[in-house]
Amino acid sequence: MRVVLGEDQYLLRKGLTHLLEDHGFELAAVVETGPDLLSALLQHRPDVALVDVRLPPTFTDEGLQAALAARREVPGLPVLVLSQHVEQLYARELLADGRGGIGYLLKDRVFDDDTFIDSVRRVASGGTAMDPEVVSQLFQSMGPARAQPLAALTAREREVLALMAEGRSNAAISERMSLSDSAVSKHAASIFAKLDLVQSTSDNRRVLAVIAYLNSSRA
Amino acid sequence: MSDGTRPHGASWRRALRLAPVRGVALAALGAAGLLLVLPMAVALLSGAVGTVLRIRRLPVLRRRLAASWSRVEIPGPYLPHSSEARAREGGLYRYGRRLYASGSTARRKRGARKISRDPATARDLWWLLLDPFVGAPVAVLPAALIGAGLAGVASPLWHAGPGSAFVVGLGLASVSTGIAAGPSLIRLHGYWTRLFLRAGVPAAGGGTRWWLRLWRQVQTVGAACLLCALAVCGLVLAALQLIAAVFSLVFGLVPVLAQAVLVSRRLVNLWRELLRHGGLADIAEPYRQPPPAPVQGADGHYAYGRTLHPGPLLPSWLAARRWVLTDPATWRDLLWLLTNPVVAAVLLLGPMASVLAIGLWWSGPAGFAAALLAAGAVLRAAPYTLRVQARWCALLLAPTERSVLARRVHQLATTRAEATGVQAAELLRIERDLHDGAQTRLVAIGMSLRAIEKRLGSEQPELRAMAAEARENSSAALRELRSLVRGVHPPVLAERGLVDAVRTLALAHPLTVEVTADLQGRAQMPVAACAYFSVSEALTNSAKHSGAQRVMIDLRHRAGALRITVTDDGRGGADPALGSGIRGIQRRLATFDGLLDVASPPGGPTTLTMELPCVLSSARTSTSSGKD
Repeated sequence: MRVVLGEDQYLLRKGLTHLLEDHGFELAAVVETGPDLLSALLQHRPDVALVDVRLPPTFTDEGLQAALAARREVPGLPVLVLSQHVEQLYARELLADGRGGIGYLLKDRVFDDDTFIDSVRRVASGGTAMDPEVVSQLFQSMGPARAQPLAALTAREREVLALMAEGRSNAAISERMSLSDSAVSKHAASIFAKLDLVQSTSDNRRVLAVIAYLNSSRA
Repeated sequence: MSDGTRPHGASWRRALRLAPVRGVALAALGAAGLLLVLPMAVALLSGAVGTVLRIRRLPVLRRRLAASWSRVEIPGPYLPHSSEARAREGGLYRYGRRLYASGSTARRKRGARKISRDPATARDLWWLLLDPFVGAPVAVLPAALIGAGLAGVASPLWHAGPGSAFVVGLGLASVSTGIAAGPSLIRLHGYWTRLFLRAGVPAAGGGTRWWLRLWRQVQTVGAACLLCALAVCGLVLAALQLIAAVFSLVFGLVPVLAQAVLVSRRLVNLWRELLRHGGLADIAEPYRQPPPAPVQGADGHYAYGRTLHPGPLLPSWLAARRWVLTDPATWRDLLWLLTNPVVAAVLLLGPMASVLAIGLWWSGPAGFAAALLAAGAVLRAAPYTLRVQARWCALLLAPTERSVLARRVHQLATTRAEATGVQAAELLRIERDLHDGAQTRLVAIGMSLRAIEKRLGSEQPELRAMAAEARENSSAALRELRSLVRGVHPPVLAERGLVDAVRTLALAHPLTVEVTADLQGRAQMPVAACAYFSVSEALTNSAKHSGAQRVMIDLRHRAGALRITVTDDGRGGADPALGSGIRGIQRRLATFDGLLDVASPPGGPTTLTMELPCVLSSARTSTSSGKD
């Protein structure tokens, strides 16, 4: 699997390179600046790109802008964005085209390398990987109008909902929560019924539906 | 004057004997000094310290002679001229704004400056120049009287005649006068020497000698003449200003007025300096600060008032013209330039002219006496008339109370802006440093710890547990740093600017928050941070107190100010006097001269309007309106 890595910090570049190579990824290009990143993405069209939000030369959101620009050129180009902080605004911008193949994680998540590599593969295969922090921010900013149906969920169901919003499949959720697959499916069905959402078969569409629900809470 | 007591006995006789010789020696030294004036001036101009010091030996010798021959002590007036040059970092030596490789060059240059600024050097030079003409004749007088007297006594040997007895008598009288007056004349020469070579200017008042007072009065008259000449120059400049005003305002030659005003300000400043230097009046500069250079707007144009200009030149000229026209000091200067010649003529030139008139029109000894009397009166009154003139100048040239206040306000505003700017820059730097430094390292540490855990595999479970715990700690440290950074300087503000930072606030807020914005460009970071935290506080207020469902935030830039309104549909009745949140916002805004207006009738809605003076810069635009 071919990867383009955009990261300006030497230590992290080195660490991520090792991590990815250890797990059998092939690094097509490793770049340090926003413009380089954009051209590398368009040239190599990798299976997945790992992108730091803040890159030279402006040290603003160069990396994010390069990733968005590349996805406008190559729709659905899988991009996993890494950052020292997560912002709902950026998450929305990344998810806006509704095509999946998007990840948005805190840099700390690389500590748990198995889960992290799992997220990379999920994004590469067109799935979604949202940081738990983003999801918890979404829950926290619920308006009272939409928080009411959420309040009807059991604690377990809320946990399942959060994991679904992170983009995990039923199998992953069942493993994580030590539940059987059928139990997770039952929880999911119950959640969708309580929130009045149409149950979708594809994991990716399910994520988008859940996030859209959480976001639309304020409408 | 403490000249010692009158000498007696042997020493007195010795002084009598030696006086003529000493006088001749002093005169010879004076003549030798005249030869040294030119070399000394050249040495001073070329910075040859050694030569100056060598020539200085002559005045030093004369001071010693004045003490031993004339019994007039003259305190050594020189400033110490040795100054060690210390190497700066990098091993270079500083003199003024230049660095020199060798310490001796810097030391020589510093020594040269010191010696040329030493008032004693100037006094030496003047004295060397004048002594041969004033001091030497006095010193040589005893010898001359004795010589002429001896010639008279001896004249009958060559040319006997009826008057030879008278000539011999006169000769004897001359010789005895020369011998008797010798010590006194040498003493007088000592006083003359002291007049120039003593340190510092003797204090004015009754204690000074009459010739010193006279000299000062002559100086004062000279100064008055100089001031009159300057007053005429000022009249010319005033006329130039008026012509420039016509060209600038009527014919469109915009920059000439400011230039003419600036030139005449230099003359007026010279006048202020002369008055200060002469100890007549200490007048501060009253002028307002020049306008800042025009700033290029986001659309590439330079705004002056409501007009946009393609280049910076014309707006800067227009601003300079407005600056000189609106400064009251310009008009007071002009009034002064126009009236000063009249006042100077009446106060300074008038008396001198009257002396001349008396001398010319009233011929004969009576007229001469009257002119002399008038000249004496003019000399006597000169310091007082000059003082009156100075007081009159201070009346127009000194800053008014308002302009003193205006300058103070300007200074305070500048220093405060600098302080807040420095603070904001510092916070931004902390955010960047944490992002690139500590946060990055913590992530790298966590990755390494994870790698260690992997390597250990199933061996040594205690070590693995320790590594896992350390990893968890670095995770916690990262979480803490994240929340710290958000409070100091939100990353999204650094990355995206104010509007998107406010959008992020809106997204994270439990109420429905709509953000509309129309900002052509970016606000400077200190103002943006202030606005961000103010909006954050306003949102917190709405959520806590108003019971609102929706909040509308609008950001736009109008008339040089960032205007943010935060409106909620709550119950209203917010009282600025009670709400600590509102007071907090007021305090935040006040640092940048911002204002907060609270409109909150009972029953709502509540609208907070914040206004922050600021200039938008950079091309990056953020214009959109939408529902969040």
